[in-house]
Amino acid sequence: MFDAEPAADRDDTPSATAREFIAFALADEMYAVDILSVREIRAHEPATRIAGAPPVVRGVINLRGVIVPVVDLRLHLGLGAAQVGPATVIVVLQIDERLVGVQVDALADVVALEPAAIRPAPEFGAGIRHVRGLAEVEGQTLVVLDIEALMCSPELALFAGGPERGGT
Amino acid sequence: MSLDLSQFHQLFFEEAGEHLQNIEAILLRIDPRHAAQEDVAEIFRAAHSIKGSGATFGFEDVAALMHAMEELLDRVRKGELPFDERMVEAGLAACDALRNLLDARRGGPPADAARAREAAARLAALAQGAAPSATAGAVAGKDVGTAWEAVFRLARVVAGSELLVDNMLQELARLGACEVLERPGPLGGDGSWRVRIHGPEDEAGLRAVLELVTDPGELVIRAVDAPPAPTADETPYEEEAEDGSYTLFEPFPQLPADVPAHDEPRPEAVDGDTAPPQEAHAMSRGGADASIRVSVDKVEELANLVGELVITRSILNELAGEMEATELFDRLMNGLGLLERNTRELQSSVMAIRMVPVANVFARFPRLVHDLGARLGKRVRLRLEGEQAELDKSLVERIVDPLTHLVRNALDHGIESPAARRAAGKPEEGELVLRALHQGSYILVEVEDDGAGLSRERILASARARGLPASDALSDAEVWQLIFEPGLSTAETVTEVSGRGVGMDVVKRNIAELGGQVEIRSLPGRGTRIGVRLPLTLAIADGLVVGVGDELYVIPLGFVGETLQAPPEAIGRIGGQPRTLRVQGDYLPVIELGRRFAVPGAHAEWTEGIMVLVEANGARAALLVDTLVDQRQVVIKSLEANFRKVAGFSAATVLGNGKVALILDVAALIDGARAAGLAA
Repeated sequence: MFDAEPAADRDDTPSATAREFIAFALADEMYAVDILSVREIRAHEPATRIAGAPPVVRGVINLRGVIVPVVDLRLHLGLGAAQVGPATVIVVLQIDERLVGVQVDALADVVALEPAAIRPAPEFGAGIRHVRGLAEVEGQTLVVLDIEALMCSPELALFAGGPERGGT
Repeated sequence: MSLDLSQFHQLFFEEAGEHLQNIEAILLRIDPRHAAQEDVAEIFRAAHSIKGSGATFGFEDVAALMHAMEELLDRVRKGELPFDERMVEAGLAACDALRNLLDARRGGPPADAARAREAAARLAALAQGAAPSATAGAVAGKDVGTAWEAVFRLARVVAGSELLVDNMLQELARLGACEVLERPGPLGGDGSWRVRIHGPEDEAGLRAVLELVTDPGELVIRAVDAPPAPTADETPYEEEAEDGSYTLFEPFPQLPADVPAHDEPRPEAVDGDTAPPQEAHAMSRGGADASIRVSVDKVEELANLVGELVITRSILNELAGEMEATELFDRLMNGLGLLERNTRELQSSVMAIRMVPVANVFARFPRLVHDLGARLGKRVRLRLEGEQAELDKSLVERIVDPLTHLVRNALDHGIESPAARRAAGKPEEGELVLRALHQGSYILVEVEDDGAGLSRERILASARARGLPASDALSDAEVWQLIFEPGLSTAETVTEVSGRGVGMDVVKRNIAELGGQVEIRSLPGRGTRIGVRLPLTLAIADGLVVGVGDELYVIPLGFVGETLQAPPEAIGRIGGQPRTLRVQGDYLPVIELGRRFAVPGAHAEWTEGIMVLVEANGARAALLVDTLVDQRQVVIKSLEANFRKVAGFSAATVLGNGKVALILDVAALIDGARAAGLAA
């Protein structure tokens, strides 16, 4: 797991501009999302499948009485379907007013990153989008996701947009 | 119909009390010189609501007082009058008077009718203060205590003649000070007149004059709370009255003697007195509250917590099951059994808090329809349908106002006068239907009248007059939606009943806040049906839990007729494939849930599974499931709060084990099956 930033590269104390990210593992890659969008972390639980939903939507879970969809991020990023292990967790994100769970293989750590430390990603081919940039932490590449854009992407069909207008 | 309205009085008092507090709070914080448009509109709406429900219960004094407040705020809202300090004071005085009226109805000290009239008069005076028409009212009558308002439509022959119209106005002026509040535009225009007469002691003279010039049934006369005659020279406060238009109010009765009354009548003036007597805020009305009002959120939170408790208990149960049987184990199991019973009771209590029959909403309408019909000179029969349908309490509270608006509109603008109905070849008695029914994931409450229907032209014209883009190419449905625009009114007259254009936008907003929709259907000459569709987000339903493969689904029990195992001879095969199920002579389409939802491991053979016969909107079908698991009350949870609508499901629920189960949208499934059947 990561410690804080390597002291050799930067100041000892994270400056005011640093933002915190939650890092997690998917297959053998490391990803990170802005901690401000994380509402809570839950142990893995089987979701209720929704017929007709896209495969990346594993289903819905009960979050203290609220129905929350769970997305298989592995599948969405092309890493194969999620495999449930002892470390599997569901990261519950809050995007606008909505909650969505993301199933990840394992939680890594909270890391503080300066904006400058997040390098823009090169142009990937189609299919790899919603990457805010790449950062290196302890010699490992961290893919910083633009999780809001990702969750709102139309292929997830997670949200139907606003409630349908009346006037039929 | 004998109906005890008193059971709803408590609700009215609570509502009115809230609105009252709201008005007061705004008045107390508002900056008179920079009054926010929103605040003014908010007071206006609150007054409008109190007026409406007050009138429903026959509390005329309450309605009259709030009518005066509404009139004043309406002019401010429309920018015809600047808001000023005196309005705050008069408003607060009216609040006090209103509180007094409400308390009196609740068994408090007797109502001080004079105080209420005074407060209303003060508001009315302010409303007329800067009114361009106020100067026209050269009131001659000495007795300003009585006033009558007549709303009428001139007979065509009269309306077309300048001479006859003038003659009528002269006749009216002879009776007393006559103000024409509204008249149809051009000579010969077909529209309503609204005239206020101060002076005559009874309405007979007025009626005699007007009956000569109107068609039968086109004349409504009622007493109004007369504001003091809008003339300066009649008031005993001559020195204040020197200056024209702003002096038409009475001095504050509660003003201490040493504080000078308004020497400076300009709107910018800052009055010497700052706040009304605070006794008004003393909330000590002992014993008035046998019930408490709790926010829906709290009830919802409670329901969620109980759900969590149920889940926690089942976790404990599971753990206990793994323990070895010892004496301690027995005691633990006893404790768990107790816990289970208590949680179950707790759960049903929480559920019971929320459910009430729609009858609670409907019961207030017979009186409203009766009174309004009489006042408007219309004959209306009210029919109630589906009153037994249960509704979440929070929904009940929140659809009362919108429904009241809709019913008022239907009576005022929908159903025609007996004469007009006769002319149109309809029975003189109009019919108004209030109907509630469950429909898939919605409860539908409809207000239907057999009146004149909406006028496309009038709505479009009114929309254009307000600068809304309204092209002739709009479809009917789009045109009907225009009536939800704020301030758009197609009524030709502003009556106490409706026509201010406040109702429909409020209706739409209230419904939208509940996640619902308002649907309008209207046919010229045939009538209008307005349907309020509310999602069952907050509702609880009886559900049949069924197993399909490894998955559990919930079928709302309201749609379920019976369950059966299909005997082979009842299965109709076409081309070797099972296609239909014959039940009591009917051939029903069969929806294989396992196939429809692609459930792994579900039975496909019709004879092996169980058929659940369902019916929605008059169409029947059989759902093929593997097992019947349970019949239970389920809390309906929105799928759309964090996800989206999913075809075939109306909502979700949480089962006792904490898992989510989806609730079938039976109506949509049947429709889908029929569509597929037609295509096949």
